[in-house]
Amino acid sequence: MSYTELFKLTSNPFRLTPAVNPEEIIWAGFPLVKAKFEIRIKRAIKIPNSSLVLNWGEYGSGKTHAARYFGKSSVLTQLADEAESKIPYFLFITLPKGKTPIEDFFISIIDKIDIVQLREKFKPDYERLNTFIDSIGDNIFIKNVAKGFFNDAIDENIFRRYLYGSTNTADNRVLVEFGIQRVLNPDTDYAKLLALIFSCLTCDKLHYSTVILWIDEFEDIAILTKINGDKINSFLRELLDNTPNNLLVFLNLTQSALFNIEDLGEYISEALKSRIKDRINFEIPKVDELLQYVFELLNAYRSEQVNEGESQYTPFDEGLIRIIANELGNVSLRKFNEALGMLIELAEMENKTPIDSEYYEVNKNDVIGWKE
Amino acid sequence: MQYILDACTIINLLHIDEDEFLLKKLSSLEFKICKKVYDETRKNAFKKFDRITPYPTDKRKLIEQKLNYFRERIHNDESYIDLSGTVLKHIKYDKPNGEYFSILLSYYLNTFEKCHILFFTDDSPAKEYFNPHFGHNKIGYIEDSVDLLILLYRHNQEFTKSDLKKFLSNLYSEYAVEIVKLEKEINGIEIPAHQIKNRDASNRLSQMRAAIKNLKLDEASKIYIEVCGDSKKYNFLYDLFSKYSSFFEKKVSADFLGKIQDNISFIESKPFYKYFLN
Repeated sequence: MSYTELFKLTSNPFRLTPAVNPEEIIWAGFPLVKAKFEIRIKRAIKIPNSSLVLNWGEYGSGKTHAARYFGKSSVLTQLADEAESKIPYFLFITLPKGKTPIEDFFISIIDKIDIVQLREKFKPDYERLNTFIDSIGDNIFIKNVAKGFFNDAIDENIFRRYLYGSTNTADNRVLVEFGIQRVLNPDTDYAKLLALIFSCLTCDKLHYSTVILWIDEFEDIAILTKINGDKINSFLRELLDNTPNNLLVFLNLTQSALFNIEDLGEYISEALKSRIKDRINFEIPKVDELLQYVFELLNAYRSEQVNEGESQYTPFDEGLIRIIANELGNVSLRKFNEALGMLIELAEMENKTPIDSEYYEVNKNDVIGWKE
Repeated sequence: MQYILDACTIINLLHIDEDEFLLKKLSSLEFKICKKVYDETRKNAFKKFDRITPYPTDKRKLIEQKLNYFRERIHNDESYIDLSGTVLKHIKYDKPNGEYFSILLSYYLNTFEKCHILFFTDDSPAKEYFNPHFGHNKIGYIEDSVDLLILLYRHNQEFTKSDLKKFLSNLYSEYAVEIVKLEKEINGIEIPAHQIKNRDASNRLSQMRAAIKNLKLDEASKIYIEVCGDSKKYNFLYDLFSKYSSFFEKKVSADFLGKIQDNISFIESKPFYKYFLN
């Protein structure tokens, strides 16, 4: 039998890895964590100020999920409406771990920016943008590149090739006409250019109120070589220094075998540390929080309402969820998901509904397995 | 004093070196390697590239060129292998690997050329096994890449503090990157639906998660060996773990990682003696 027939659910709600399809990305439970993000983002939408926020938690505590959820345009639109301003421009990247982190960093951001769409959007304001660009900084070359970014007189493909550092002689001839006479230097130009583009995107909050740059797996700074770690530090510092307004950076940090939050000071510079405005902790969930989470998650997947008299946790019941939560002990949300996800899969295979504590006891070894 | 290098140390040096800096410093050191060690180096030096797409052909070429340099250091007089019978009996070791032949060469040179041996290996279990024999028979000492880097730093004027910091952090990164990748993968894996009743696999997965989380690398290594010994039983887990064979074969210990970090901080807090100041 299907999930709908057995459990009145559209599919298994307890996914183990974050969903990719925006429609499947929902927020269940944990209202305090959600509110913290909402406040941070709304503040960034309203106030012209750049800041850095750390998101800290274990593996599977929901940090990447938070990034995906708050990156949804529907969520951002709602927050912008509430703050009575424009939507934020959202960028989500993973901290590069290769031998050339700054190049990788820059490329992964450029990969996500739709130049054609931005040019279209800013077309009516092109002159205003040029005046704005002229008004900040003294690096004429970077200003020309930023102007070129928004200028649809330069073919998009040529411009992309330029940003990727792979232009040919013919491309270069075109670019020279727009005051772009040399290639970009990763160490000195990338951060400045990105900062200027970010500033343009949020210029007078015309189309975007703020840029949100969300960096996942930032704890990997601990495993980079010293030189590359230093490079990342100065890149981020420059990005923040040159984007004094309207940039909100979230850094996801996972406690791992080689990284603890206390170690962070060893890997990030004083300049970056002083920019940290807040820390959002993804704590190990408590039983009551799990109950609320399960309730809201199941509701989001209901194909039809539960009947009167049935548990609001159907196909489970409150007692069973409490038992599982207690028997698992202090574990991450992902481990809890793993257990419920497995239990519901087993029940589906054996056409068992509702899923009661007796059924759980029989399958306990599969659901909980080896414990530390 | 004679210096002998093991395959894992050579592989580490090859990967952490920049512009042949270390290779040039190493050339001032009169060191030897066994043929078996050279063969193992050739075989294993490129393993870490297997998981990189696109395959780093340029880097492979560079390392192949550097390998030629180590070929010249092979101790070609194979008389030391004749000691096999007596030494084997003495140290009760039955794996004819690079470490074993290096030990034979150490015993040979110490006995017939009457010199002390400094054997560099990053294979923690091998070091632990052979160290008492080296001490007991006054053969010499067993050290690792960290010690070798500090030695090269102290003996070369142009080897600066920041070079030492850089190479030690490169060395740390060599291991740490692998651990972190493995940790991410074992924590993010979704058990395939048809395998959810495979209790052996899910238990080993939980055990591996705990071992890595607590940096119990010897325990992780045991779980790896067990899983890789039975692809049928462990199914999806076998596929996952076998991708990390090059890491597990290095047999790194958490102590070694700690030692690298400690020595990075010693550069400032407890500087190493250097006659040539720079």
